[in-house]
Amino acid sequence: MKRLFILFVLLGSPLGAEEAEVTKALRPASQRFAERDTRAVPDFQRHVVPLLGRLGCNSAKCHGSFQGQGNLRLSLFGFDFQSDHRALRADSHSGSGPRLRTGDPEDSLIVMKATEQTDHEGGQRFATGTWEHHLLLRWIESGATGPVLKGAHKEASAVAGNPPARESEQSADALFRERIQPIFEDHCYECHGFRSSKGNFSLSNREALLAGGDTGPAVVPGNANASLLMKAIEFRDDGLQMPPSGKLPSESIAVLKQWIDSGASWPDAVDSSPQATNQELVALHCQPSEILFREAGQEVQLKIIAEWKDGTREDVTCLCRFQTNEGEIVRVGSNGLATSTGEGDTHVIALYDNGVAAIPVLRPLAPMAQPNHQAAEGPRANGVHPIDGFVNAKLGKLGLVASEPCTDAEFLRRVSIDLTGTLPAPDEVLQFLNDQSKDKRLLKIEELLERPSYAAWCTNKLCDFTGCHPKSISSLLEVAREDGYVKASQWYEWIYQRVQQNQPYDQVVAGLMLADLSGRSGSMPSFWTRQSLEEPKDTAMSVAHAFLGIQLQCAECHKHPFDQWTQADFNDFSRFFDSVTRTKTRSVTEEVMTLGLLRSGQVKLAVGDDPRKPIMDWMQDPDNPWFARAFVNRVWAGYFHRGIVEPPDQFTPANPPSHPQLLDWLSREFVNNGYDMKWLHRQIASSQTYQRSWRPTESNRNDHRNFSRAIPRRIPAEVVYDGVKQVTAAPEDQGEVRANLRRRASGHLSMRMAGTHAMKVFGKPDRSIVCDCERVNQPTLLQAIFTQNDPLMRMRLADSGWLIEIEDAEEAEERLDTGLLIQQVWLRTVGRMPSQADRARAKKHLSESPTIAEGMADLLWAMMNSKEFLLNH
Amino acid sequence: MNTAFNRRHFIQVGTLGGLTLSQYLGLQALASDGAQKRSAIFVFLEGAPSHQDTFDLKPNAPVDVRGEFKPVQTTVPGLQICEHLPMLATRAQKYAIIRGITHNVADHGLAKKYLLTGNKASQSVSYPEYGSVVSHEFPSATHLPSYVSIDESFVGPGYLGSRFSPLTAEKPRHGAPYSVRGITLEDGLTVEKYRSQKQLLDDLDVAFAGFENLDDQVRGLDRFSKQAFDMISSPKARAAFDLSQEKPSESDRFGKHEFGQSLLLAARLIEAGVHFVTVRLRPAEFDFDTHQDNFSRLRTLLPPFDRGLAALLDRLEERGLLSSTAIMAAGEFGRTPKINNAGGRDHWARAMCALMAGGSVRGGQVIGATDATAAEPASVGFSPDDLAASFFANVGISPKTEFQSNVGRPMTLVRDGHPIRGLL
Repeated sequence: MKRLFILFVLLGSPLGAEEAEVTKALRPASQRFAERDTRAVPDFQRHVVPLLGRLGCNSAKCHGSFQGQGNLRLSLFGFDFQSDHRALRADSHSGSGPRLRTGDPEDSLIVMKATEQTDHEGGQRFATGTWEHHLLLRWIESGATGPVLKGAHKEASAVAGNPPARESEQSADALFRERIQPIFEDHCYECHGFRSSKGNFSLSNREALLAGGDTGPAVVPGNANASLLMKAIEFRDDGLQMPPSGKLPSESIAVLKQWIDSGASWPDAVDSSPQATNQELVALHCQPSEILFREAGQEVQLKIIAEWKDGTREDVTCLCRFQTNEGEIVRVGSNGLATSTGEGDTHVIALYDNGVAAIPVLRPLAPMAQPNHQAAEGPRANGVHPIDGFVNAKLGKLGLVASEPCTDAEFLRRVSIDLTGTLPAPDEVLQFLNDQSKDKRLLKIEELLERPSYAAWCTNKLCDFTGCHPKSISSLLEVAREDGYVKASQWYEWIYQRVQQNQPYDQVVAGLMLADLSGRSGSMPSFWTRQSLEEPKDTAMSVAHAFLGIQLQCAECHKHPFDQWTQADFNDFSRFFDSVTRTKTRSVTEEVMTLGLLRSGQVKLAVGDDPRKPIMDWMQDPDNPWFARAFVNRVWAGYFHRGIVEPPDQFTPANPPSHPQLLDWLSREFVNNGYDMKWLHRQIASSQTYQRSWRPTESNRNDHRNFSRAIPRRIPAEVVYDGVKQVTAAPEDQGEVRANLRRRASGHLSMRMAGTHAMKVFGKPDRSIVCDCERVNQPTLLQAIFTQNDPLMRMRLADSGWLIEIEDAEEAEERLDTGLLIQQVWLRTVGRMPSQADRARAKKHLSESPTIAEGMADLLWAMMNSKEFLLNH
Repeated sequence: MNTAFNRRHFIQVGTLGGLTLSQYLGLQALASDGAQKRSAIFVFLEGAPSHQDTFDLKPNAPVDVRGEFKPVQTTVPGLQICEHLPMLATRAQKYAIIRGITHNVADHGLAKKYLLTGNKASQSVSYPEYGSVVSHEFPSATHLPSYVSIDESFVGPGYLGSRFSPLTAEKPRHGAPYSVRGITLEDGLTVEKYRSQKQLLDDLDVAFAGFENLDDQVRGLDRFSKQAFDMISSPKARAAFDLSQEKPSESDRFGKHEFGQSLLLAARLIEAGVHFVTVRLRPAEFDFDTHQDNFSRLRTLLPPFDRGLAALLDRLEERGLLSSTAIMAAGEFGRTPKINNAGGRDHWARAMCALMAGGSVRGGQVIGATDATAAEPASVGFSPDDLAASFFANVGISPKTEFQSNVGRPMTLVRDGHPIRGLL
């Protein structure tokens, strides 16, 4: 009987019903709040904030902007739940009444505004009577409960349900919220907020305030006159005047004095640093997990299920934000309905809480083209290069026909530029073209890998990634610049030595990461001692960018819009670099800390530990999700002008790889081969995928994403500079001009040349911001002006050793073989033999020129301005 | 339609026939859409001139603060400026002085970035300088670049991308032949010869024949190659840079100093149709960074600045261009109230001043004030962001314009600034 009763209770109670749903997933909010009389209660984190996000309320243009909008400021992209809750709960200053009226939800200002029953600059976000409307009303009338902080009891934070506080407490709280906090926000938090604590002083909570910073305790509660804070803001002391931008208005000073004199009360809940809540999203599941379209206009409704750590699951489709990475292929409505618009492949992205789901979308070419490769075969089948296996498999799926292999001449020029940053020498071209051996391309790759120019070009790129920039090393004072050059050159040389010995990539990085900061025993500390790294967060961003291909900076100020990173993740990661950034002389943990490694593990640090060590260990772990991939992908991008993840420094869930299995394979094998950089270059350069022609087939003209053909791209700044020198050098100087790294823009001159006119015009990065986008390979007007008429170009021609020899020979009336000279022009500039038409036009020009030397100068000028020269194709 | 910006378009339609009627009407529509679009000149007083020795004198302060210079009455009642700026003093109706600008970056490099962009320098974003923004918003419609920087630009186009870099013109010197890197045909190269070279290039550049529209890069190279040729061979562009076409008396009016000659070149470029000119006033011998000998150095630097800027205002007004050209002059910060032991003034970011003219600036006024020693704004003060917002507003670009950075991040042009009230 008792047993029966329990069963009855379980069946009958709404709780039991909910639990039974758990394994399936809670119905979507749009259904549960469809009726006004629903008894469902929305949750702040799970429903209210995502709804505000979907409606656009917390976007940068509206209440998510740093100034807020119309007195209401929400956290951008909504992940600072306490502050959002506080903001919604606070009275608006506009005199339009309270934002929330628990007794009378319909009259709450946020509801009136969002439904535009009262004037709202953002217009109507939803109509009355909709589920969105009901959801907000239910939240308000059920007490407008806020987030539950990690480790806190639920009651403590159910602010709206708090028992009324004693009156004095209430007014002290009000004083803080209404008068004090705004002053801190406007004048102090930029330097002393939770993101930054200049002078080791932070105003993020009362504890931090009382503790003070380097100059001692900031406030003596009850005694403003004895408080350092007052001294600083009253400008009583020449050495400590705050804020540095200028004295506060006297009203503000007066109210701060009053506040301190009355005990500096600070409501517990007010902490400017966002804290973790007790609810953690584990995964976003998507149905279907991928979309295969067949024709334009075809539609697929996506369904997104959120899975929380407590095991609950809920259909959150109606609370997600949806977007697409390529509107020409698929469009997606705010309700998750995906519509095919064009052929090709991309992803639809769904965002909810801090989760991101990327759903692959693919539509083959119509009508299905006949693939010229064995699409179904996996890697290594029939001796197929693994890279080609992965790439061709996807081409087959898409119905794309790959381009033919490139010519020998194209291959030689392309691989010479990509592997060594150098144009092939004229003799080398002839030799290669005449070589009849079948494996000559493979042999050429091996030969290039042994050249010093390979190590130089590779080093130049590693200097790009790691931020080797003379000006950021030295202080910004002009006098220190020379020191910056010296250190930047040492940095370059340090990497060069290791690349030349083909040291494994992870060991090169370990050398930088764990550098002895004194610079003794051959260590290279400049990565850490850069003046530009002022705060630990700068260092954290730099490490994440250089070695993990991750851009953390969004999370510096707000939740990353397309990634899982929150400010808490970023703050944790930054604390690893506290000591090294602040002292620039040592990297030592001063107190026991447990820190998170970007959500892939926790590290406990003991006093005296070098906190960089666990990061290096974690990066060297073969399972590290980014370390090997970021590098492999960047190297790939160097060859194809596009990464498998593109841009290469945006490894985020919302920016998935175009070829995930290829990236997996390449990074796994790179690790298995001992991080051997030459192995990596060899793999890529020897694939058919790399050796394709740029000439499109009927189907792949518009393909920029699947490597079905070579994409012509402008040669990098350093190659332009060095290449022009090579083209104009005397025959006997050819070897010297190519081999003397001290005088090459891709060699030691790399540091000196940063910031010069030529390098700026051609987009050599300053290496001063953490972004791969700093190197620009787009053509511009200024580049065309440069190659056509810059004094440097004109000077190279006027001083050309080769042209001077021709001139001398002409004056001495030696017989010149113009056919051979013309051939040399083509070999030098574009690495191929001239065609019949080329020869005819060139001959005509020489015959019309006053001297052969002058005509040759024109030919060199013209060819160096040709697309064939300026592009790597 | 009293603006030369529009007049220029009209001239194009009338004389060059460069635009079709519908294009012309399109431009008209663009110009009348909201704010008026104007050309602009930023006179960057590099090194940071002391505010209290130029436009914000404190004659009643103690001697170790007020320094050696005396104020002189301007043509605006109650407005006094430094005695070494007499020509500007007689033209005070033409400009507004903004005092009490304040920030907290007292380092040259970072402060220059701040004042040249209106955004505090950051490690993660590189902001574009004013001229690059203008060339992004007002693309060049003539054979001229949209943006010219006199002396190599310091910041560049930032997140807008290298397409919006300025064309660099070196500082001209009085009486010396002038050439512009990349534009001037040097060493006896004639336009005819250049034209034949270009013909040869077009004949030989056939590797991508039939695939000219294949990819952005291929298309871009062709487009820019043609544009570069048009610009270099165009008589109009070369004339704009050719200072020898100025009468000696006009050249002398601007002064025989590189300051004046640079400003004369800026005027010529604006007249020809360039949309934005940055002039970096930083002589090789010493600039406004007067840590030592502040007063003797300013006695050398202020007169040519005074003469050059006065001549610029006069010339633009004479040609009816002042109302269509926004002008701003500022350094990167102010200088210490107290004179140091070397007779100099050191870096001081808490107070500085700026001058604005042209466009819809209400001249003949001072906005803002500093305290008794010129150390702080007397009340709230303005930020460099406010200055930038005002300048952009006067150029006809909303300071709240949103751009996509080169990594797709939405960027507000001037995030933290607002146009200064009463200025425009």
